[in-house]
Amino acid sequence: MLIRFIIISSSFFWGIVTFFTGNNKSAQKNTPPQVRIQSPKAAGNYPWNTVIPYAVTVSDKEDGESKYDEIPATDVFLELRYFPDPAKGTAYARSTAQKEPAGYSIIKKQDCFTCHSVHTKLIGPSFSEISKKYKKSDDVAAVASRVIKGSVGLWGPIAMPTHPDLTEKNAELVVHWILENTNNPDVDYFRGAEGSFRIQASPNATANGIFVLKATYTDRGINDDSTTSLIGQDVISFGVKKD
Amino acid sequence: MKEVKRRDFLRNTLAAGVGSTLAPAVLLAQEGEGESPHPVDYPPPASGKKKKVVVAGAGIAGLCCAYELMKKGHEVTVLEASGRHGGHVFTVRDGLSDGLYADGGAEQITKPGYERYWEYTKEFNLTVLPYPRRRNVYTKMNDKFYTEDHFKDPAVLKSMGFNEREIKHIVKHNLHELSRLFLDPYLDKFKDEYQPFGVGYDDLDKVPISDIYKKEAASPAALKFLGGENSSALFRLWQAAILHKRGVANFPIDVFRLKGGNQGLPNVFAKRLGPRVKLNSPITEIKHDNNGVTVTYKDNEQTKEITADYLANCIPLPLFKKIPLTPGLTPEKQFVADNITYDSYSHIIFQASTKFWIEDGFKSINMQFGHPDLEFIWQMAEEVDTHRVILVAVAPGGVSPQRALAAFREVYPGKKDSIEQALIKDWTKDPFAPNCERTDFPMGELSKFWPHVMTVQGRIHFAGAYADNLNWGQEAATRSANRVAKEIDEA
Repeated sequence: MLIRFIIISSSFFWGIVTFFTGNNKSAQKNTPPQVRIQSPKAAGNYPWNTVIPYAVTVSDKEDGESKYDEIPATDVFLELRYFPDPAKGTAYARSTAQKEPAGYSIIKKQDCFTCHSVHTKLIGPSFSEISKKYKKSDDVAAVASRVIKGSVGLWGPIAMPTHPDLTEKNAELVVHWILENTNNPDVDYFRGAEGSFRIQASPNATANGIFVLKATYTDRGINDDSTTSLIGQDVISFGVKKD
Repeated sequence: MKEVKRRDFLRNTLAAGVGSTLAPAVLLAQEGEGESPHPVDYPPPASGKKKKVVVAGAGIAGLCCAYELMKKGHEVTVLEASGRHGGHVFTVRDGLSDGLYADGGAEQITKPGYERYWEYTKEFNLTVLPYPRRRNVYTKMNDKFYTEDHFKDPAVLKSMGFNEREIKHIVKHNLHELSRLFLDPYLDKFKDEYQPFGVGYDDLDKVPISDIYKKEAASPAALKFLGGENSSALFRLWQAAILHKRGVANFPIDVFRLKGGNQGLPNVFAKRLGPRVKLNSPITEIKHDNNGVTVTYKDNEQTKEITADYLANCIPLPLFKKIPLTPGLTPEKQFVADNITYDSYSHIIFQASTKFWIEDGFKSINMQFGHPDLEFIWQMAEEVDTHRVILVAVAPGGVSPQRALAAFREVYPGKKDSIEQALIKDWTKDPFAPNCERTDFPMGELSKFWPHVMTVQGRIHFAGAYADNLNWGQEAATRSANRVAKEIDEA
């Protein structure tokens, strides 16, 4: 089973999408990016506990083509979500024109995913480990402060770099998103135009849910003005092969 | 991290001035240093059983393993995903003036230690230079700079809180060897450096090494200096025993590097291997059974397939586990692949017009800052005939060269520097070799990792800087590469 949904949603984090905000931009219009999940291909189901390669292409009139590296591979983000109930998965895939959470939008512009992944330790601790360690509301400010100022020793000897250009508010939005969204084993986030992901081992003998894979790219807006950025996305769902 | 707009990024890169990013391929090192100009054909193996082997990854382990297999008469093909070989052993020349160069990756070797590596330097007639980066070091602690002399001065050590026994040991050996004062009595029980279990310390895997220091009456100052509250005592004792057996210090002061850059060794391996090394050939799928392996890879966008008797995997496990593998890894190996961890950071390379620190009265620029944007710095390529100098510094991944330079200017204790250019190699962002050295196995989990990091999976063997008992990069890479070449040759 594999269904494709292509939805273009506008940027929300910076407020209302503004195409005409000043004299110098009055004649310009930002064209939304075209995001396409090239693989997994639209066929068949996949066995549990398998590594599945994927490839995403992005084409944007203003920013260029991902295949020529005009759009950096690391600007493509993916969300993989498992739904035990296929109907709910299909509904989720159809409804993904919803706005992105603010923290997720900021994290996509940062280098967080270079050293952290959601469920496995990379250079730094996994986001899920972080979300288990810290209480959702109490610790946000303290963790955000360490994101800005850098930190070493809390998770091991490898230093977390400083992020002095993140405002306190944005750092807190990032931390809030991590604590809220990365502790669910059925949901994973990663980046890269090409790569692979592992789908989990079967949760039970009769499991027949579906996975929904969403790829997004946020363009650079008119003259790199992020308030005019648009998000392109592609969504597919695929099933799981029963033994 | 500062949001870098693409256009600014390109502009900075093209300007190749302060703050530019390094171009990836520099393969000029070591010309004329005794290597054969052409690939060499070797006679078939003594056993008469010539094996076909695919080596995954052309880092130093992959090249070394392939070279050894080739020498033993086997047919090898090395598949490397990126457009250069050498992996984490990377010498930078592009953008530097006057023939200067810098090691942007693997830094040094020791003696004793690195026996395989030293053998190769003799075999290929590579020039090894002393690397005095750990001599005349200035260390910033509590807003004050300390010299080596300070750390050998009993009065200073006493003021730091060390007790008489510790002071005596530090003065005789070195501050970095303090742990040996407490651990040496435990080390003789380890007979085989590849076997940490069954020597009577198995229970210590769940005990922090700091408890051993306490048991051995370490002072509060020593406990603070050594830490170890989250390190397995069994793991740390085993690691200390390996060094002890090899006659290597904890932190060897006299270290060495290759003249012209450490990439000289991978370059010679690759030159000997010739067209057996296929670059820009990422592996996309591996199938294996009792008879051999089938490896699918991309060659200039074309999908190709190669069958072989064995696969020598020299790709770090965090990248290897992303390649579809049928049948999959055993649960033990999968655990290692999912949980093994590495450190990773940036090398910042400063080019300066003078040895500015001399004017400021410092014996060297080897300095430890502990600044969040710049940890330490040292000089290299001193033998290049120029008034200019190269400084190499370590910073966390994600720090820009400009920010690292600003950090240097904030903490450098002299009046003025003459840095004219800053380059960076940020390994955390390298898609092909993001992993530096393996980090410690977590407390209580040694049996989950060891010996599974090295064990064979059917026809797939594993080498690399992570796949040996000690994690010292080029040493573990060359040792494990030789182990795998031997395993396959004798299989």
